[in-house]
Amino acid sequence: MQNPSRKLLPYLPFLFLAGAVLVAAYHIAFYWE
Amino acid sequence: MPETEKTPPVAPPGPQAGHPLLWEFLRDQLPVIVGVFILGVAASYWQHGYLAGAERPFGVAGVRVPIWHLVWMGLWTGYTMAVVGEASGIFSLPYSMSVLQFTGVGVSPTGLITTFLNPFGALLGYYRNHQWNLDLAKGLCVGAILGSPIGPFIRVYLLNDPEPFKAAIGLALVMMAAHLCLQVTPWYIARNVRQRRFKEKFAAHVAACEAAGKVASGLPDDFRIRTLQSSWRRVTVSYWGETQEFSVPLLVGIGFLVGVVASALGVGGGFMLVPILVSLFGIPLYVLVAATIPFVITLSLTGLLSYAVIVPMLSGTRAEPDWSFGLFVASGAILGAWLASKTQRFIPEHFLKPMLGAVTGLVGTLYIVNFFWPLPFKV
Repeated sequence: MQNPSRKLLPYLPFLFLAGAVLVAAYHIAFYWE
Repeated sequence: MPETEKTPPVAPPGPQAGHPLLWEFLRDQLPVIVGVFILGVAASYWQHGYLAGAERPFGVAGVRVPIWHLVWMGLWTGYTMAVVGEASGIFSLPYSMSVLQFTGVGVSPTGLITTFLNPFGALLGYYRNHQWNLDLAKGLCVGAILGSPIGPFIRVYLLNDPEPFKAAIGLALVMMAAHLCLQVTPWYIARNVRQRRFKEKFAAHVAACEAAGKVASGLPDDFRIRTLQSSWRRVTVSYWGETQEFSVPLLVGIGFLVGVVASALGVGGGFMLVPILVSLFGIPLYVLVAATIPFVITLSLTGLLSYAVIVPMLSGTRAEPDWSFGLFVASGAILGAWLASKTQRFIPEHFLKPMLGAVTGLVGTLYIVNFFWPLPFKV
């Protein structure tokens, strides 16, 4: 039987990119001087 | 009939039997990732006298940033770039400058720490898969050794200010964006006959593995890149039924050119080397890594030495890297590159490549435009 988590794999790069945008926004808001 | 002929072969007992991927991660990757992270902590105390992070700034970078953010930056840039066949440097460098505000000369050698360490995680995998041939890599590596000590002088004398440096990075980003978008066009795919034949063979291998109830995430066990002939003029290799001949002086010239540019910027050089090798020789990506990984490691090491030792000695200008900053990023990038190598074939690259191409192209264009006509916002 196929592992159900494999269905998520095609979306992984887009999840990483979305996370990167969120973390960058957090850094700009709280660390920029 | 003997007992052994009736029973099917049984996997050897041991921790690797049930979860080979988890076992590979624990054996090959985790020690490297943890080791590099610990080195980062040690380097921070050695270079700054304290543990830099969210509270206290990284001395050379001059910025406060949580350590988890650096590991995360390495992870996502390492993953997304490796998934499309690039290295993390060309993505993490603009992020370090524009988001983390690390704009000094030190950002370039710091980037080289990551590009030096990043391939080591994948190196073991490629070595075991026999995607390895030092005869193919030697010409490029010699070029890198000759070219990469020169790049840091260009960085220090001509690209010292952030704005022209960002414009140079912008050019590199636009080049990479064009290559990413071009790769999915029917013209490009049709042109690379070897690449296409290789993909067809690989797809047949994956189908055969799946029909046998196995998961295929790599090349077949009998894959080899064999040297048929090697001298200082020509090198001939064969792989999976293909034979290719390369001019060694041409490889040295390519390695030299890419070495100068990449070490001046502080990246591994994959963004230039991959399109050059693919368009000149049409080498499939699975074979290309045998040449590019040793090249990037050599280039990064000699470039780093030039920034840390040769440039200060000959010019009196300080250009040392922020060791802990680079090591924290590298620990995440190693994990990202490994994740990418295991999940690459599940990713829809026809959508991802143009998307990443659009993002890098936009950032690159903003850097270039900002150099000629300063923008009303920070880039």
